[in-house]
Amino acid sequence: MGASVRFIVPPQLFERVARTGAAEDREIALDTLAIDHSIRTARVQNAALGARTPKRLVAAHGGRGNPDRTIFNARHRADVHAGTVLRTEGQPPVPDSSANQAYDGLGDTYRFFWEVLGRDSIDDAALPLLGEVHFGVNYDNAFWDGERMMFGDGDGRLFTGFTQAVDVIGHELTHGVTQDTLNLLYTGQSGALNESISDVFGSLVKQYRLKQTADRADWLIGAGILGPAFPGIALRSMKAPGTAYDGDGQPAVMSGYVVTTADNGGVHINSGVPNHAFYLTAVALGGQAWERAGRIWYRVMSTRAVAPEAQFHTFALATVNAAIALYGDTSPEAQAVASAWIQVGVLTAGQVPTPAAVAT
Amino acid sequence: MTEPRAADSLYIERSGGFGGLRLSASIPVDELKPQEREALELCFEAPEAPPSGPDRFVYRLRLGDREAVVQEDRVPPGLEPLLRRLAGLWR
Repeated sequence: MGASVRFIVPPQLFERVARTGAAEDREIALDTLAIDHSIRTARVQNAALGARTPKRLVAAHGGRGNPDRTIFNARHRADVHAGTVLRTEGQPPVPDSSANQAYDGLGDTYRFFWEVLGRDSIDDAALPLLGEVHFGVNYDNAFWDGERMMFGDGDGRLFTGFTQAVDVIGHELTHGVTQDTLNLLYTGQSGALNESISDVFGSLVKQYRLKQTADRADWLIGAGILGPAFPGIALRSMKAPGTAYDGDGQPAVMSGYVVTTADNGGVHINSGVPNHAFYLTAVALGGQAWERAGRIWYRVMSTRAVAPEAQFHTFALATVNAAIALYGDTSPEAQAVASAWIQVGVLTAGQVPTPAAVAT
Repeated sequence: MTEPRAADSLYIERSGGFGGLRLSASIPVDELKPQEREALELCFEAPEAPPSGPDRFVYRLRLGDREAVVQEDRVPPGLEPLLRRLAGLWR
């Protein structure tokens, strides 16, 4: 790798311009950033992926608002990273509909993070997006394995293909963003926050695509992948946790927090509490949820405002602080966030930060 | 729902996954194949591993008073056919 590129100006400054600057400044800053992508991308990827697989470390097509997607065919295996490529960036649709759905969903998610939050892919350095479809046999799941997004076809009874809903794809890609930012431990409350962040941005990707306002959105997770035998309308409801299906045990408020050893301490159950706090914030503010509520939540991530072990209470305070930093300490935004966490029983009125507390 | 503790029946619970659904099934021990019993022993003897990653399944296996929590990607190959057989039996 060439060593001729030097950071004459701290790259953070360029990134700030790229995210917030005027259009012309943005172009210049982004061009400059592109030069050192190769170095930084390699460094970030090596750290994130542990250099597990030899692969190209430079975004060949991507960055600056352009995703670099590759969709692989797992051919119903579940043990290795597939080598068979179904569709690469810029190619027209292929006969495999799962591949096209994954390609489109990853594109929608990339565009959301770029256009709304100024984030360039999972690592904010144009990381190529790798998806693998037809994972396993009748596999009722999708997951982020630290390197690729894996999608099962479903058993056809409870679930149909996991590529069919953009909120699912957004959820999985967001796990990658969380890994790159807060790196929340996947157990107990920090694990439930990890899950909730994926639901929040998964839902926002869907709302952004549909150009919905908060009061028009369904706030459901996984509604588009359910099979005929599934006993409900979705896997989770951020608007009304615990009502998505017959047997849905999600709490909406802290008093319903479920202590369990299943699911790494109930990470998909207790995510109901922070999910509902986000919903309450978004509907209180009105308009499009990504504009303010989404930006506040994302600021906690991009500034790495909490530690990997963060509990609900710490995260809640961080969102209030983020709202204050973005909009001011007496802003409706800060009040809406604080009020939401009070309503779900994570904060009490006396715990909401004052301007003095924010300064520390 | 009661979880069978009888020594003649293997109780399997699957939690986690993107859906976070909690499903369980029981299978009489005498229906297990020899390689499945061997794999089961491996699970009971292995120390519990940390979570493998977001949205992975987690299995809890119980036979009598023995119990193991096994992350999806650490299921011994000998048990995989059994877990696939259970696909239609989850409740």
